[in-house]
Amino acid sequence: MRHVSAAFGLAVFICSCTAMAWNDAWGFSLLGQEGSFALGEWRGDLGGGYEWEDQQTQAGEGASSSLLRNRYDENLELRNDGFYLIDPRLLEASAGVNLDFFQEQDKATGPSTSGTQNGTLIGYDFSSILLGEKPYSATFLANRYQAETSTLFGGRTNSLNQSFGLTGKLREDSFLRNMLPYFSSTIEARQEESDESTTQLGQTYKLDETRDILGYEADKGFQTADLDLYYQYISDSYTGNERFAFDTQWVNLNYSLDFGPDLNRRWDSRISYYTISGAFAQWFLAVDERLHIDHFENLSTTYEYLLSNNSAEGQTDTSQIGIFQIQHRLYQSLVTTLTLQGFYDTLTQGERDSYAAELTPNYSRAIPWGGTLYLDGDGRYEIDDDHLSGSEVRVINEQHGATPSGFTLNQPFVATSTIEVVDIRGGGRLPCQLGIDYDITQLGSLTQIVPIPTSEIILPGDPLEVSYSFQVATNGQFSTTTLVGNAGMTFSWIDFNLQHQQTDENLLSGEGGQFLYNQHQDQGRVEVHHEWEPCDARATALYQTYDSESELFSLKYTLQNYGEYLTFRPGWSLILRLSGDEMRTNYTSPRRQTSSTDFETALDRFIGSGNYFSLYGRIRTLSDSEFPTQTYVEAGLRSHWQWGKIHFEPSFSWTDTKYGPLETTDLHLMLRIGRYL
Amino acid sequence: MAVWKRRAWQAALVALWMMAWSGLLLGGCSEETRYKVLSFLFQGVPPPGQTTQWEPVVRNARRPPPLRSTPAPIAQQVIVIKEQRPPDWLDKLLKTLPQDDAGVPDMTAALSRKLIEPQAAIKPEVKPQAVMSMDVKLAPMPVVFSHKVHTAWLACTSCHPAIFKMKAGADKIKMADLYTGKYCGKCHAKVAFPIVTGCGHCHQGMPGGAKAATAKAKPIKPVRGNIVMARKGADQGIPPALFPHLPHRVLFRCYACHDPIFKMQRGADAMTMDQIDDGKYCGACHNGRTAFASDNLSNCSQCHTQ
Repeated sequence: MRHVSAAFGLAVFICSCTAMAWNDAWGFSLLGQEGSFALGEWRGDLGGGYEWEDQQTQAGEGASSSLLRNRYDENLELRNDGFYLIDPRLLEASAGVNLDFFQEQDKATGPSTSGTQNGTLIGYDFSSILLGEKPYSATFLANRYQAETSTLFGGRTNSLNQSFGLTGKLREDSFLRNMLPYFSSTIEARQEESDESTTQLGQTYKLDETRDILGYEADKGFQTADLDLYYQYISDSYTGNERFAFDTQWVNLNYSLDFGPDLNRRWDSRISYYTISGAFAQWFLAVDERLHIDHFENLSTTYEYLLSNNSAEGQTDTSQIGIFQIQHRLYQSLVTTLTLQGFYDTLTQGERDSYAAELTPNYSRAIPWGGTLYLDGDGRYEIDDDHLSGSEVRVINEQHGATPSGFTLNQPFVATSTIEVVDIRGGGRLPCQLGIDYDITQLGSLTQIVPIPTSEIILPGDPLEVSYSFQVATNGQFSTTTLVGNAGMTFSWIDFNLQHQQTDENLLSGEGGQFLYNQHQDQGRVEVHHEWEPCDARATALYQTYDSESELFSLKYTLQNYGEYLTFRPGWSLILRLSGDEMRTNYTSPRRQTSSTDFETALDRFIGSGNYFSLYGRIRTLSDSEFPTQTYVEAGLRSHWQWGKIHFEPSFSWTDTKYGPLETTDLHLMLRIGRYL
Repeated sequence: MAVWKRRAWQAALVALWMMAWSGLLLGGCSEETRYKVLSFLFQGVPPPGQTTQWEPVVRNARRPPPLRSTPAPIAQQVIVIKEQRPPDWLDKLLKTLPQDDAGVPDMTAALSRKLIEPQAAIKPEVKPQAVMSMDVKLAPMPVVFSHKVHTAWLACTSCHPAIFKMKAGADKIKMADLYTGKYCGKCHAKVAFPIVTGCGHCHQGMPGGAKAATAKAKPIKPVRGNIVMARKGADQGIPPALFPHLPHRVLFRCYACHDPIFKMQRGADAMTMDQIDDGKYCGACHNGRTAFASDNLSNCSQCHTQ
């Protein structure tokens, strides 16, 4: 009903505007009108397309499915940008509609269904600004997008996204400038709705999410200070999956002040409060107070206190950190930083505290042939003291990105049965399942999460939040010594870098020696790069050895990574791009091998104004001795031709996706022709 | 494991031992030798007899104190002979000018069609300089530089030899240099059409070039070339002055002001209000006779916009 009312409202608005521009003629003109209403620039497109798709899926053991799709569509797009009421300074707006009628015939074997379907995809967008040039302006936005897209492994996604919202802005030069100088603020109210249905391998996954957002931001400036406030409220509901629903509130208050006779002292204060209700109930408070003093150009000190309080799943974690830092520069070449740090953590199970001292010298010097030599070091000594009643500590909502090769959790000795993964794509919170959406593997004392390519929830690159418990010593004191050395030279066309890093943990008193580990990493890296007409080329090579040991685990591996990139542009109308990345990790303890390759090429040819064709190809493989091999091969052609107002866009693509015994081959041909109005 | 740990510690200890001995040896050397050794190791070592002076850090205030509202001054009659233009004259004029594909007004086409008639000097009777018809073809990409177009606006010394050597091909010009404000980028995207959208102006056959047609009803995106003057007055509560290039560019050719009044380099003229009120810099026109007077207090906000 809401969709109909929004569309109706838009239609009424456009009709009203059109009626006001009716002029003396019997029809409205497409040209701008002077007076009470004037239309902006009209743009339109009337076209049609034909799409042919042939998908073949082999699921192993002789199980297979196929889909042959013929689809025709007729599309009308019409928009007007910059129309206004009375004066563009009063109300200026842009609006567009998109209608797509399609007829589709599917011939399928296996879990997909054959049949014929006709339908309409409707989209619109509207944006307007009231008093745009004034220091107090308002913006209204409304849009709707509907699409049907093919997914990996023969799937199909129907999606409908719509949103509308209002934003009000107050600039510094508003009527408040005498009473409240340097004050600006923004208030925003928005509703977003996403209705998505994905069918893949005979399974259908539905998501109907509605999100109401209210936000307020205010900035107050002073002669030597700034005060910023940000508040956001989000109410997220899922039709059919009410248990996923949640409300969040987020408040940020920042204050920054320069003081002292020469304003050489800066105080920064940040307070953040975050709360979430529902199945993932949590509240979080963080306070950061920082004082930085520039005594001289070459000498500065920093004092910082951080407090965080996190309450979730019936547990409360309060941590306090105090930091003192002094930084000194000797001549122009040597910058040395000394850091002293104290940490005190109160958990439901007990207390943890630590003290650390760290010295970081950074040396750099110009050398012949325009190069720079740099030598960096870092030495850190830390004593940790644990007094806990339980042996597990909970980590809530640790953030990671869903890379196809997986990611490693920050803490070692994780109890894998306690891992919970949530996909937070687009601000939602979708729980993921082990074995369906992700897999777990051990890397010595570390734990790795690997997304499964057939997951309907985790898409490549999605932001994820992981909660888990990890094992610690209940009562023990131990020391950690970290040494890092980094040396290198950079020139205009070549860079060298050698790095050594080692961490040693030793039990000083108490128990828990089994949770301590030592690690050692050496790395060498070379990069060659050069730019010359008409080429731009870069190549990198990296070799790394890693060795870590504890009483419970041992992890040793060597890693090789090579990257290549070349752009060749003999003229403005032709561009050839080649890029590659190969990585190989050989684990000797425990035995495991992983490798990945990614080669990409594209040839773009521009012919006259707006005409081009592009040939592209990509091969990506990811193999791991513990998981099925993933392979993705893609090749295709995209093109755009225009004669006057007629445009023609043929495209062709071939993709082959493999994941273990599962393989899908997709041939896709698309022809579109249209006329700009 | 223990072997490499022991080696790392040994290496760190040896390095510390060597540094300590080096320090002791240097302390015993002559000043000249110490300078030679130290300047080999470090950059910025002062010569013998001099010491490095590290200055205390002094920061400027983030903002000027807010302007307090004061009683409005009694309105004075401003004598503006040339400026009998309505406030929206520029916007209306821009709508009548030809545009390129990106909606940028084409000043060269506007000038050749006499849609604008910029003066050659402050005195309107001064005639424009003669243009020079010489195209320079640049390789490898097909670029034709038109001297005719540029000498309609600029003097030879505006570009040669400070920006371009007076010899075709002597400057190895790359597009990347233009994007960073070198060569053509000295003016283009700052006061003349942007490089990123105006490819076709220079590269024949590429989109984005000048259009022969007159203005279309689409959003106009002029390059305004506004310059905010950095001046000490901002610390005293007076907002910095904003110089709008666009209206001046429509009324005057570049060589009317550059270099007779202003150098062709931002910040090169250290002008003060006293100098302007004495008829220098902006005061050459803004004297109450040719344009609004700079020394009239009711006109401050015309340039010192907040």
